[in-house]
Amino acid sequence: MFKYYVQLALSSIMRSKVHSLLTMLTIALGIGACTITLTLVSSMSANPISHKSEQLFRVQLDNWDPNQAAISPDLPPEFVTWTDANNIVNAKQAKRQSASAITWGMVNPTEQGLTPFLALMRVTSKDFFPMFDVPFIYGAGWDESAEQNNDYVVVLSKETNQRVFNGVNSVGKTLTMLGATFTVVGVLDDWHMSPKFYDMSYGAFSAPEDIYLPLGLKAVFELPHGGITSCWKPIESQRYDAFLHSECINFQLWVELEDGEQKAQFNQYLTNYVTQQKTLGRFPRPLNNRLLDVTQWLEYKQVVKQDIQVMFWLSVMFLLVCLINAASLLSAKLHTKHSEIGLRRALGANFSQIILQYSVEIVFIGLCGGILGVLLAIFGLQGVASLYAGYGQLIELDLTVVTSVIALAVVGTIIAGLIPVYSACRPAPAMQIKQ
Amino acid sequence: MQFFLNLGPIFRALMRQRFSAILVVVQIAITMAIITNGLAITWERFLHIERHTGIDEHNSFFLTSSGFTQGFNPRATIENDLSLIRATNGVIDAVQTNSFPLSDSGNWYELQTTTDKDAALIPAASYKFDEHGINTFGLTLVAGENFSAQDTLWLDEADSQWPSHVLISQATASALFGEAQWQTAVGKTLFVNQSTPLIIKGIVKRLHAPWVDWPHVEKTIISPARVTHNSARYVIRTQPGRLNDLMQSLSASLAKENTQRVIRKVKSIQQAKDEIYAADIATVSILLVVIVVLAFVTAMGVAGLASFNIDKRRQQIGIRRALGASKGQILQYFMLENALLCAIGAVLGVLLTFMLNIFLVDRYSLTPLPLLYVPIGVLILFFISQLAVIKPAVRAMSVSPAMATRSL
Amino acid sequence: MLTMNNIGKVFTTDVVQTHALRDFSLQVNEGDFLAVTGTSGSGKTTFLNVAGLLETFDSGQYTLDGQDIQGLNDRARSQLRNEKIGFIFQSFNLIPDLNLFDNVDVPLRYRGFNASQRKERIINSLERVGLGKRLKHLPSQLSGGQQQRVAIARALAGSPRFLLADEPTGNLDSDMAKSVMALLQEINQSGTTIIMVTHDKTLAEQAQRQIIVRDGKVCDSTGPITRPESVSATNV
Repeated sequence: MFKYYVQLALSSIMRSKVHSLLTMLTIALGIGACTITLTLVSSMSANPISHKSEQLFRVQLDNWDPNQAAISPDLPPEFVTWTDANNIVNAKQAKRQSASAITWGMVNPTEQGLTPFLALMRVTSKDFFPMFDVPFIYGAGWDESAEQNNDYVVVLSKETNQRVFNGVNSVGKTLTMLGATFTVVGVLDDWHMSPKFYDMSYGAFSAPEDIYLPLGLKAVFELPHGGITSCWKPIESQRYDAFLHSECINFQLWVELEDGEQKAQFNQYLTNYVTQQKTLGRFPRPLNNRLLDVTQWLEYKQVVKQDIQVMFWLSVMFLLVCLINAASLLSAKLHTKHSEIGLRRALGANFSQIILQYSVEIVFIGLCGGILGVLLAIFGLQGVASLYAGYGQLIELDLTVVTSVIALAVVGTIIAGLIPVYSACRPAPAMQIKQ
Repeated sequence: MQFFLNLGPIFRALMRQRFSAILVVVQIAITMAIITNGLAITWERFLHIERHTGIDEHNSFFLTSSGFTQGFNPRATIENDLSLIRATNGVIDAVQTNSFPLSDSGNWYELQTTTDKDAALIPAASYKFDEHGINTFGLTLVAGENFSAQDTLWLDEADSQWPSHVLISQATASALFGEAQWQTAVGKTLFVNQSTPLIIKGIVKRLHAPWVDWPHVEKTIISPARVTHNSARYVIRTQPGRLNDLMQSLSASLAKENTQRVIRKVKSIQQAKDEIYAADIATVSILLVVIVVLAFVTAMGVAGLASFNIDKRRQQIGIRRALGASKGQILQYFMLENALLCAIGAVLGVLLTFMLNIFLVDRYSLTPLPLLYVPIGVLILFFISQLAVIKPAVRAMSVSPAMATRSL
Repeated sequence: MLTMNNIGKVFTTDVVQTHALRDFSLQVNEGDFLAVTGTSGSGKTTFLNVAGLLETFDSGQYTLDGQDIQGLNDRARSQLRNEKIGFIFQSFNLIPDLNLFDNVDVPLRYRGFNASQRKERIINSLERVGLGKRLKHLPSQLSGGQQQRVAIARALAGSPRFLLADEPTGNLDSDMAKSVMALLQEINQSGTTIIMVTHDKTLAEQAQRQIIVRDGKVCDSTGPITRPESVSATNV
């Protein structure tokens, strides 16, 4: 019997090709629009480290102006000072801790016979690599003693290693940069967190840095302050170390805590630390420490652009219009079939057989519309990706979105299509045979 | 009168196929809500993007020169570079600057008219460039005069000294001295960081801050300083039509002139603008596509319902024609039927428009919908649906009166 | 075989209640050829719809082939229709998009026969009405008489116990009407019970038995109808 319905459905679709195509196209447009916005939302709200996101915490301390909160109404600043970054990392009260900041400098790979270039760099702590599951192809991060002694060691990104060393294992080789000679200790594999939650100061979808080096070298080489620097009181002198000892914030501080107990302990430590700093005349505001895990942090930073959420809602309404339109089209088609339905009823088809027969047709139309919609979305996303130049390459159609929108198309079309079928079947069969 | 007499039977005929009529009404209403809100967002963004920054956006580009050798001399390099650039055929003028509008990086200070601690602080973005800046950026001096070469101060990177004279934007002058008295600002003194006094030498009509979304984007202050960095940024204004070839040739000749540095980040202001506004441009483009496609889908729905109704009523139309209805009256019937659906849709649509707007404003802090958009939305929907119904209605018009005698 | 006892059917609209059938009683025996006549609005179409299980009734008792119809759900009624009753309509009611073979196939599909059974029945019944060579034709390629023969073939294909014919010759000219009537006679002679609704007295006279419906009641007398026509809502 099912085969018969499929035959009927196909012949019905073929008989009214334009109408069926129009219905499919309508569904496809709605589904396409929803797929595009859903993909944008999902690729922007992705949690790139979901398996660990409850163990990684952003540390915020309130060293701000007693008269004015850093972020209204009374939130602490998002970054920490050089002083606090170093104190907390060196105290080693968490399982892992890292403070980092963006900087830049000239790389002068004269031994390799290359022209100098300006590289974006990250000064950071050794725990940064294991904390964020950073993948290495060669070597590893630097060790404790290198960090303590401010050894001239670097970790290169895969691209930088390709550029300077042609992609070979460069561990142990030297690289001239910042006017000194550095030793390569590790080379990263492809690593692009998106959103780049650990440091979003150049945007949530900005590219990772080219070179990583120990935090202490920032002071040694007096490296520029990349990212966002913010001060609430004037720096006392123009010397570089005056900045380091000021209340200016620039550093991204993260800790890894395994469970609630560790978190409670660390919180207690932070309270003690701030209280102790208050005795030195710092932290004039009330105690206001914050520990946000990755999920909370992303939410707080509103990584998904509001525009995209607005567009998402508009596209849902757009889909609704398209489904209503499909329902109109299907209902118009069914009106021409009232007498056929009545006749089939007279010839012995029961209500559910009629419903089933048209459901097959409707599901087929919905499925085709859904697939067509996903195809439209693939083209549409290419266009959209070129519009979002900065992070266009990060927008990818994922399987969950595709399957759920196709399911949505089918369910939506069934609802849209079966209401007219139902109303067509409802009158007693006799009514429809008479003309 | 005829018009209103017609509405009753049309309405009753529609009620006999409630399901289809309701679908079209709901479709018109939702479409109206989307189009009205979408247009409001689009127009707001468009105005935001098209806001004039005060500089010649179309004929200017910028580049960065970064020295990397021990013996690199920033000051000499800047002086050489600028004289080379300014002497190049096709260049109108060039300047070394810490920042420029649309660059998205820079710093700002708080200004006051007294040193009084409680006086209002006026935030203003800081530009540092010499007397060539006015010409390079194409700024308009509306009061006072430009810097002279003697005003310019060479500063070390770490030197926070201020030159004695500054220029300010008209918006800064208005904020400091009052909307009506901005012209009186010339010659007066302002204080920066609650201590340093600066004499206002002139006022430029418009110069925006580097950050487009900064709430105080119109407030700027220009000091005649040239800060020597290992990295220096030049902004170059070319004669119309020379931008692209000069971007290439100048960066090549600068790189050749001095090999102790690299030339990087060569970009036109227009490119920088497109990048800064990428998300807004994307929003505007996507919304426009959505609006157009939606209008199309709804027009199809309206046309579909109309042509279905007409097919169903061919004999009825034939009978009407046989009984003396003119072609025009048949056309009018279907246009009126459509107008009636549209009117019901518009009532629901206005409601939905406001509901959607309240939701968006509440959740995403959008600007509330200006009321003017509501009648615009109604008119657009009315226009779309009347347009959509013309073709089927014309087909109805051509139904022969002989249909009346034909059996089905 | 078919027994109706005091069947009542009321149509209710906003304005009036119309008794389309009232105390309608009828006994049809196996092998009968019954003609039901009556003026427009007399209730004969309602009788046909009720008899053919196309419509429900409001009161009374209806037994078809020993089965009480009262209280059967839609599924059971559909099945009974499919297995026991064949319909022939005034306007043929063929599906225009299907060829003759597929048109006759429709009731067999719902019956659940397998493909070879269906094929055999379709070809047999089309041959029986003299259209065995035109399986692939569309209804629009046939004359009215031929279309009605296809409709009869479709009604016969499932070997029904009853044939319900609603003005089977109403849309045909007299020659075609004669041949269709002859076909029905022949079918009746081979054992199928036929109930034919018509307003044509000469046609009715060709049936074995004849009843007249008036005001929703069986009225065996053939006397003149004096009452004005009552309002009928059956065509709403």
